[in-house]
Amino acid sequence: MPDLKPFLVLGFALGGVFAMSGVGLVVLYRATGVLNLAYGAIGATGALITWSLLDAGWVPDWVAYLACIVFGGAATLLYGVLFGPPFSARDPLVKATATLGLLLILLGAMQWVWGRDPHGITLPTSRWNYDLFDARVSGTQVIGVVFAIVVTTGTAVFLRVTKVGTAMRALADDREITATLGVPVRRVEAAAWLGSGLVCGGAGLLLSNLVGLDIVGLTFLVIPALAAALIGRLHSLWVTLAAGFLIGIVQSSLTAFSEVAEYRTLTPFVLAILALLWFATRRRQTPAGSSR
Amino acid sequence: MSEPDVQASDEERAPLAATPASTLPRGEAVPPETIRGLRPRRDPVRVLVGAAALAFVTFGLPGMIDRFWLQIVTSVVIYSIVTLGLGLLIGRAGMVSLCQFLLLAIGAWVALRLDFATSLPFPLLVLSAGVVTGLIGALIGLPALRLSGLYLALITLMAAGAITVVLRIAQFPNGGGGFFGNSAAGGASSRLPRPAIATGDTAYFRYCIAVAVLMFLLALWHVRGKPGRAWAALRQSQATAIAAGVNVTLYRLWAFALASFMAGVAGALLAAASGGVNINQFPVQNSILLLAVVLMGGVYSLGGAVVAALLLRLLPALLDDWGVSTELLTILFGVGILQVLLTAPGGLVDQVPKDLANLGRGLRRLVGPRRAGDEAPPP
Amino acid sequence: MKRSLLGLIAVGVLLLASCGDDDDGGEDASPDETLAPDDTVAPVTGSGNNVQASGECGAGTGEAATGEPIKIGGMATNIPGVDFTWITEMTGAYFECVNDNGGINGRPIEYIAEEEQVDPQQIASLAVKLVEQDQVVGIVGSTSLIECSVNDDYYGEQGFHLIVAGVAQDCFSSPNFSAVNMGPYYSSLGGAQAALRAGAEGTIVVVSPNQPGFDLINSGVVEFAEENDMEGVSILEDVPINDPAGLAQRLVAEAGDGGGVVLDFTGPTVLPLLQAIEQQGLIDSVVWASSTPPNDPSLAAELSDAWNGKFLINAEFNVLDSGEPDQEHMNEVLEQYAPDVPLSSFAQMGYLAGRIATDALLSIEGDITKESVNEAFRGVTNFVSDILCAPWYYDSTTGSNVSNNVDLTVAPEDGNMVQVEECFKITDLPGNPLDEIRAAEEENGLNTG
Repeated sequence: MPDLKPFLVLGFALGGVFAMSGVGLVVLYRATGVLNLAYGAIGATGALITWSLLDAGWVPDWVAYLACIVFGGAATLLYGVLFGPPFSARDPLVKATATLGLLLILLGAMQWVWGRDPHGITLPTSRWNYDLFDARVSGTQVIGVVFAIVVTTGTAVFLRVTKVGTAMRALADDREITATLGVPVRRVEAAAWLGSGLVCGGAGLLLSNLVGLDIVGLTFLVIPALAAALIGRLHSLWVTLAAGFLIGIVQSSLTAFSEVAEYRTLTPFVLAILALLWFATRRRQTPAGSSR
Repeated sequence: MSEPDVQASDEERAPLAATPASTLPRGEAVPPETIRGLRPRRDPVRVLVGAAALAFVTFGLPGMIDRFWLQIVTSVVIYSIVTLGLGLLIGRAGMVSLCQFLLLAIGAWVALRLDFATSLPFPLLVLSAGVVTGLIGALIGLPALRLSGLYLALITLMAAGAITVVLRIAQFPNGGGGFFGNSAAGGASSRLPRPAIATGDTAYFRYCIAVAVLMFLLALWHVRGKPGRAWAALRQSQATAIAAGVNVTLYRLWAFALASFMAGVAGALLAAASGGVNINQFPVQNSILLLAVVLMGGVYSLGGAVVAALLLRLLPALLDDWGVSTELLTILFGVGILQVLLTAPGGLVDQVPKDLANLGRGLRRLVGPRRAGDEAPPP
Repeated sequence: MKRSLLGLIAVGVLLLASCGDDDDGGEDASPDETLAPDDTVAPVTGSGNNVQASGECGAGTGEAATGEPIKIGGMATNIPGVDFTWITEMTGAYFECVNDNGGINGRPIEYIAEEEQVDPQQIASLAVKLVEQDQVVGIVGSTSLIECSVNDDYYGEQGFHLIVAGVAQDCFSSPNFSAVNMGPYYSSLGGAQAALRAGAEGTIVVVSPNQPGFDLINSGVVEFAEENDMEGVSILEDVPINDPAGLAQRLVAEAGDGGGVVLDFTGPTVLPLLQAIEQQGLIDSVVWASSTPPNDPSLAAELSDAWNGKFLINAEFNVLDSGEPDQEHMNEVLEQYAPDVPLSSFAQMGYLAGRIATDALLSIEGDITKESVNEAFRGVTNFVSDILCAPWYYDSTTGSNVSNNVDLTVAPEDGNMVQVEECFKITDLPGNPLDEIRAAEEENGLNTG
């Protein structure tokens, strides 16, 4: 039995970021019916902007890091404001396919502007190292775990307690009736887009450090986040959180076993497919009129 | 939508066509079949023009271009088979699949493995690759058929990712032993030997055109026959279709299997094209690019498949030749997806003739006396 | 990436002064003293008519060439995680310098360099484009993960003999290619030899990009380990490395305490891994070695002092700040004509390919045609340069060309790459043809200088 401790630690941190992204996806889906497949691409673009700012040295480092988060929020909000309303009455499949359009636009733009050379960001928190159970933990990894829990808790509280949050939950249940009740639908949706985008930017920044600033790789890290969100039935924040950690830990632990190590990247795909199959076998009655 | 919507809503049967009436241009490219199978008469002039174009491309074109462009055009023909399958799937059966590109890889893999293990003639290799890939496609689609469109698309996305990982480990067969048939000492790219009647580039180009024509005929047969009517019924309303006795599951599965079969056939042809295949040709984002070009080409017309293949293979080569960066194409395709979904579900094949007709009308109005029919069509 | 020439010369002089001491325990890899290689070969220094004077290239007339261009082609892989375009850019830079100095008998060289993305169809088409559409008379500087396998037959048909920087083993087992470098198979093997001398025991792990052909490339190190009664483990990892910390842990776990790990990645790809190794505190757990691409001063500058002497890089060529005439000349050409290319072993490959090709072209007496050019390329023997440990030649007459089969080891030291072992022969194994090649070299006097 190989020593799993360092892999568990790495997996926990990675899983935290997956969980955070997953929660962002779920919140957006619940409020607007859009499954934002461009999530990873937005985060990657933000991280590259941060890299450029760091490289150019025009602004202090903390501003550059903040830029990633701000970009995530702004870009997502812009997309939501421009393309949310025209698609609002369409099927979720169409909405998700439209986000694939955004993914391609960002992917092409990133490769065009930054594609030439490899890049890397080292957050200052990565230089703080602690020894934990014989494994070495970096500050960034701790942040990954802590943020995941904070974001999930904060979002759950927000949805339950605040007016905007309640409005989001109402939108998720039934858009038409919520609109007739006088809830400012567009504004509530915009808030969902913005919040989801800020989380996306944060996740992108952390992932670029934990995993590497690779354009295609970061863009398709939306898949583990998506897998976590699917296991959470695109509804439950806490299950998404747990699922994210699970995916990270399982994938990382498989690295320790040389026979299956090269198959470890199958983890999110397999888990997501299993989750989807499970839904297929459990017929659920849909709430009346909830086709959006 | 708080739970996965297992009972797919009506709109999901025809996602592209179901736009709110106020934004749907009149005369929009809704597929011509109705539940009773009525369709507009084929314009004989159009058929003749199409046949003439095909004859020119097959016999005249190879002599006019050099070997480099011939190889590019051959790959256009091969990929048009893939885009045909995906177009049928989206336009007729109303389902989105994001793993078609990887099914292409599986087709190539099967053809190569069979070639190294047996001595089947080339046409049989192509057919077997198609059948096996069709079965695998049906297998992928089977559990998802109970789920609504979004979840079907997601399962195909996950399947695409999983196939990519396995393919990177297994690599393509290159004459080695074992199930995977890949040995370290073999070459870095796997090539399928061409059929004896088509070893040269020009001959192989014509061979591929012949196969493509067969695939188009197959598609036409489906569209005009019972499957086409069943798919049209499904698109209108699943409940009505079931009431009318249409076997929903069978026809949805059939559409999936057909699209996968075509991808498999194309994969076998690809393995014998110049250079062979290796895993770097099948990155995950190509599946999304494939979806983009199919949407842009037009999913409601078989000709859209050819436009899609031109966008996917010819355009990058042209841009490269002119020194323009091909990343801009990725951006263009992203914009294309958004545009098609928003305003032009029929894609370029539908939009360009309309735009040209509008342009013609505009010019005539500028230049000559008013004629009947010169009024601009209602928006 | 501009380096002050003066600073380089100063460092070079300092290093030359301390050159005699570079074999003892000063900059050791852990844990034991570096053993002296037993197959050392005295390196050759630039001499004879191969030395290029400062500011000159080729014929060295100082006048721009204006005749009808001579078309030369080249192709390089450029995908995320593997970028070989530095090599073709450097070759192009050298040709530009040649063009500024009279070209080839007054005719400038037009270098057509293509990029490919490891797509066999694209690679085959590009070869057709170069040969039939652009009508190049020779192909120089190509560096590709798979081109040698895809296009070998085509080049044979068309009568081309390419001067390449080889990667896949196919580049080293066909008479149609001859590489100025030794490729990752032999270079990793050299890294493994250095690791063994540095005290690696029990297991040697070799890790390469997960690309077709790298299974075979890893097999050299595995066979070497087994020949020395150790276990050999071959790992293939997707590039860019998307989980450097996980990979670092995995490598150490597989090698065991005191084992050896040979990395086989390009410089930019391996840097995050090295940083992760340091962050996880694993530098001293095993003996770390590598094939040649990380031999790049800009990479050394990114590594902290913790890595001093602990990363044994097999250098297919002499150190970049050797101060020797040819190396200095290369640094000049790079700075003037290709300032974006980092000073690195890739630049050395591109430079050498351009130099050798130019010398061959200048030696042609009749017309410059496809036949005469490729014949000239094939006929190159005893090309001497201080960048190389031994003279270079094209054709080994055995059907496999591995003309660069002697090299040395470097390691990072305070932000620079310094030599830690002298030129030594890459070991021959049952699985590689080096013993035949060396016999043929001696018999035919191919690299006696």
